[in-house]
Amino acid sequence: MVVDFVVQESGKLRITIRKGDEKVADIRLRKDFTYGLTASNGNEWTLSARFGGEIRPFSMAVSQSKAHDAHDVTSGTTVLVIKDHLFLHNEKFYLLGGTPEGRPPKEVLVGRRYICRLDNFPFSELSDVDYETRSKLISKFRGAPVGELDGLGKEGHHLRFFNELEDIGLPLAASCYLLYSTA
Amino acid sequence: MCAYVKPDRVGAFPFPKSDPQVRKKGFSEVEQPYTKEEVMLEADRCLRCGNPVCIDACPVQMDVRGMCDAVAAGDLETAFHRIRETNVLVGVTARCCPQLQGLCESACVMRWQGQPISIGMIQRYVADWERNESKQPEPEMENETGKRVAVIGAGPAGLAAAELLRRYGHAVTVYEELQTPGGTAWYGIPDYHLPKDVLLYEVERIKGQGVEMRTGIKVGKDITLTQLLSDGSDVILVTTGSRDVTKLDTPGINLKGVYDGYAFLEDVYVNGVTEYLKHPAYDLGKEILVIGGGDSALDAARTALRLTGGNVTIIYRRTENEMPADPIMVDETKEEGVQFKFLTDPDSYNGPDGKLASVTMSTMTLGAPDATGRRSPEAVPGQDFEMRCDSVLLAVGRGPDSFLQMQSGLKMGKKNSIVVDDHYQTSMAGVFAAGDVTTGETLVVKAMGHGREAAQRVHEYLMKLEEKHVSLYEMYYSQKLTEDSYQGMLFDREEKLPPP
Repeated sequence: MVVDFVVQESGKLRITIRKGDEKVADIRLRKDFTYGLTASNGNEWTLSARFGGEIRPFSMAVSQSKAHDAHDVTSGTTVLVIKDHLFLHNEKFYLLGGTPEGRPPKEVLVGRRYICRLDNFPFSELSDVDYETRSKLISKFRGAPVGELDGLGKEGHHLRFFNELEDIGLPLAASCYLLYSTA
Repeated sequence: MCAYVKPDRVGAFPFPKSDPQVRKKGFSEVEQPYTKEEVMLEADRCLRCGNPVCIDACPVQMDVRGMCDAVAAGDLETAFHRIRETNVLVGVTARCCPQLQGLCESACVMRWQGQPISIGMIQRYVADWERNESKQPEPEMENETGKRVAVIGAGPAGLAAAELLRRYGHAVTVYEELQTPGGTAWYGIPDYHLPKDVLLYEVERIKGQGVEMRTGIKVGKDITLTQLLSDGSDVILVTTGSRDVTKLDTPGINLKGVYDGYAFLEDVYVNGVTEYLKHPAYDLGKEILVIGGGDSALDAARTALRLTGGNVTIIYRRTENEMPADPIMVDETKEEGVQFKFLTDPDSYNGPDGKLASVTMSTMTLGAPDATGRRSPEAVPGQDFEMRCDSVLLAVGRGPDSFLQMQSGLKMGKKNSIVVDDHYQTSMAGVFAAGDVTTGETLVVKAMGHGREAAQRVHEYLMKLEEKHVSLYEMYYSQKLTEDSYQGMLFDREEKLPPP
């Protein structure tokens, strides 16, 4: 794994994200119950459980609210949508908490969760994934492990992943923390 | 490790079990219950999260956190009412949910610190306490609306939907083809997972709420959808579940001794195992092969083992790592002595005089990944072999029960499922559908969740509230942001984050 973030509660409703020893971002709760993610370089994102007119479990939309380099990403652009543990990035589907291909499913019942890239996934849009497929993601689908999550938020939630997810690294780390590790 | 965390479950992981050498000789439960002392200790391991992801992971949004908090304090009555609020089959789902496989226990944050809370075992204790020791009143109901709903199919989706619709004040009649309600939970889940008195008790509770059950009626044959609508039903909700087995054309598949594993399970359990044992309908012999890699294959194998005491082998064309079955159940099956033969696939069924005597098997290898990401099984040329056997049970998957949609002309989709829109409405006005008949086969609790969401849509349709639609999850979500019932519990934990 080449990118390693630690997301941790650092006080009342305050969360920091570190990369190594360096603090790279923090997360704050807003009055409208969205979360603001602010990076040290000036980038800001809004994380919201509501998107597409609904709120769903294990789902999150992250949009850029302030861009460090407006040529790179425009403010208001949605940079990540997680729906029922699934997200699409650079035309590839990823499953948060999937079973790596070739590994015993029993190994992933507790402890570390894997981010699995679902190669050959028979859909091209997140909104096209049907109920039957979503309901069998854990039992039937396997993927290539490209990242992993581990740890309770209070102690530090670790998110490690390969380069292919680096450009959404901070929003992904913040989302995983909020969806899977807070107590 | 956090100082306040107790990493290990009370008792064995995943749960205490009966002796496999004893249990394989009968149909008594595998999972063994906690004592009151144990259940309170286990419930007290719960961190009472400000953001209870266990509830997010539950398709019926059962109040796991509230249950654990009350059980830890010894208040079983409060615990029961909290979980009963959204889960009408508390005892059933406690036993047949694979909680560690993508459900509440899988989501529990204690997984990061050791073993997740044993939610199913706590839930089971609370449900059993209520059933055996202290019957509790039903949740409150709204005033009668004068609207009538016919629910077709008394499986988990239909029961959950009927109960919610009744609580909204609608008159609900459930039509069920079999003599006993419960659907898959009645005839498809063996007694060693789910003693049927647990299910029957919960069905009686639903009847006690005023839901009428009309059994032994096959809609589409005994009465049509049009007749139901013209006889006074304002809306029909179809929840007829899964039934149609995947058809195979392997040579010799029609030989005597090659059986449909799903029909086998239904025949054994539909009138109760005791009745079946008086008049066994299957001559399985002592060498039994079961084809398939899902939970039903395991259940067919374990049922056959209990009935015959013979040698039972599960044949699966990939390896154990690719099996879709719950790995906890795979372990149970192995403990009982069922054998597994992986990377093997039937090529032909053979036997003289129309009676099965052996199966020619292909040896498989794993090739490139398919659409599920699992590597595809491919036959290895020249490595076929013969397995002698007395019978074969096929459990390779099944799809929606297509009978009603075929009869009534409802628009069909994949595997003859009923096509519904985002409002759960079918192609016929006034007819809604939910559960496995629309989605394909899934878990009991997922079918219940689907049934409840459809019931919410039916309610909104009947009361002309469609423009104000709110999903059940969103209702729960809004409530958890604002509710005061947990203020005492959260008072000392105010630094906890609200949900995202």
